[in-house]
Amino acid sequence: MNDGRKPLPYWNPYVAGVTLGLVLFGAYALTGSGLGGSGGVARVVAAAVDTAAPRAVDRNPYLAKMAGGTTNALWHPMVMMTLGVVVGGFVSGWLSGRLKVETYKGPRVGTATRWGLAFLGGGLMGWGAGLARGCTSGQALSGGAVLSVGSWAFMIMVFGGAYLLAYPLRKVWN
Amino acid sequence: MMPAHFEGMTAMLVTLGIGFCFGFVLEKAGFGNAHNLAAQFYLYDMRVLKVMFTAIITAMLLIFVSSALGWMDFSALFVPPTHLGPAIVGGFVLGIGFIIGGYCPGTSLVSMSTWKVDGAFFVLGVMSGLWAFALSVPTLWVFWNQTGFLDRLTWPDLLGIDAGWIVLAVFVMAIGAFWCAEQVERMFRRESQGLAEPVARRTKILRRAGVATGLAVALLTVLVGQPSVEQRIAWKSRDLDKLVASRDVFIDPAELLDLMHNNQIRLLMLDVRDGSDFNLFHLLDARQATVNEVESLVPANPSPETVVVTMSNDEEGAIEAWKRLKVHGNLNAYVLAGGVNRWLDVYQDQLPNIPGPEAQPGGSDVLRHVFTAALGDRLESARPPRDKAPSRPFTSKVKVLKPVRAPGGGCG
Repeated sequence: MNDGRKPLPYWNPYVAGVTLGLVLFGAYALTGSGLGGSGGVARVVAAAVDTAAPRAVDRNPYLAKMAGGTTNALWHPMVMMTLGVVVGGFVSGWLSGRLKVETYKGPRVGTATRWGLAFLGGGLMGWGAGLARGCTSGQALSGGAVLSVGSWAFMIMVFGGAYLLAYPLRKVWN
Repeated sequence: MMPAHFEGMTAMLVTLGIGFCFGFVLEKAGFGNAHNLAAQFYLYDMRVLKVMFTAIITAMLLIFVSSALGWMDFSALFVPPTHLGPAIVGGFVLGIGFIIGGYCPGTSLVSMSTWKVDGAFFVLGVMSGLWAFALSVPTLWVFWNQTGFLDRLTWPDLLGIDAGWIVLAVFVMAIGAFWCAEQVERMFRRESQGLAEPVARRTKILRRAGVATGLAVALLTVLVGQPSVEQRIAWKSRDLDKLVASRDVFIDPAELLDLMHNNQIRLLMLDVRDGSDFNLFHLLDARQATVNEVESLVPANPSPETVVVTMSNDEEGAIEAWKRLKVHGNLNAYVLAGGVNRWLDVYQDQLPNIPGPEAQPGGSDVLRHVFTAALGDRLESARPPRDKAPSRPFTSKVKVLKPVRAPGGGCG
């Protein structure tokens, strides 16, 4: 713990990368598949819709696969992974003295604008992750390590899309 | 041999632990902070590229060197199937979301868990986006499932060279990218970052040691090479021979007939006899291939309802094919006991007292029955109707990996 003092510095990126690589390898060695970020969130959404409108779930091919009929969308390793990410992030933030209610934003945008942009960006990411069957964790990182062709195409497009809009959006971040 | 196989509660707890490590490292890497992520695209801090590619090459080196040395069964690992169309469009939309929102789904969870409000809004956005995607699925169905669909496809498969070479190439490219990233960071350095500190001597030594280790592992992977099917069968021979000896994987002709009439599973019958025997007689919907190319008839990521049955005249060829399929992917595969000969004894000649699947056939894998014309599957015994076939009791051995749906329903 690190109460009241300056937060601990972030790890050296190469050290963090090797550690993350070991975690990824561990995931493959222990479960046969890689890491995931959006899969568990998709199941939480499916479960929420299933509580509110079970028939809508059964009629939708994407949601029905996760929560159709009597299937419990939450009883799945991907949900455990998401839960683990939240707890792991919290513990690391706690030990490093970074637990603080704040908003990260560029100096030229207001807090409310930043929240709106975060929501919009998240929306695009969620939609894209559904279409691409995974996000930067499940597709780019995990699929990249096992040399999946589709995952590498995906990864190039993610960087391409972000670099393309980086200049027009420079006022958001700088 | 890796990967380990856990079930039920244990599997859940193992994944929970992996998720914990994942979240912990993401936070420590600085990915709970949108500034660190956005900086990648303004070139003054290439943390995202460095962490991601170091992670990819570390895991890649370990996976492929383990596979070459026989410690890891690569065919049992989940490789995200390639859907080129959705990957390209989805990836592009994700990239745009990345620069607008400043996170990706995994990192936004970490940001939210350290009480960052923008992270929480991003998570809400991801949930709404996934819900919106669910609503658009019916419209996008064909594009989402068919466009550029290439199934399980890796770079070594596509280029037809040993995975070791690709591993070496990706490693060298990544090191080159890190070198470029260091230069670019120096060029686009911000005043707020202060003057660049010179790289410490210890850091330099550590970096060189890391690169040398990685290069050595990549070269070892190239040198040993990925195992051939025969080698993988040899590595697993003890388990496979035990299964064959127990005869648990041999199914009675009557059970196969039952599977042929079962519309709740996807039955894949692979006939490994030569073309002339196949043309004389084969079961309806059986597909023919030689033993050495039997994998080509199996989809790369078969659905859990898939049941594979191999057959030859007796059993010899079918057992070889079964072994190949078992190491090819962890398939739900069985062998027709007594082969086509015993099938014909039961359903063509309708002989009494044909032994069950525990009995090994005596023949030397040649067709015992005589046909005067090449009738293929045009005989009734190629798929005897249920009511006309002689009834024959059997103990069911096939385990369907997905619970069979309850009957009824349909268009209710």
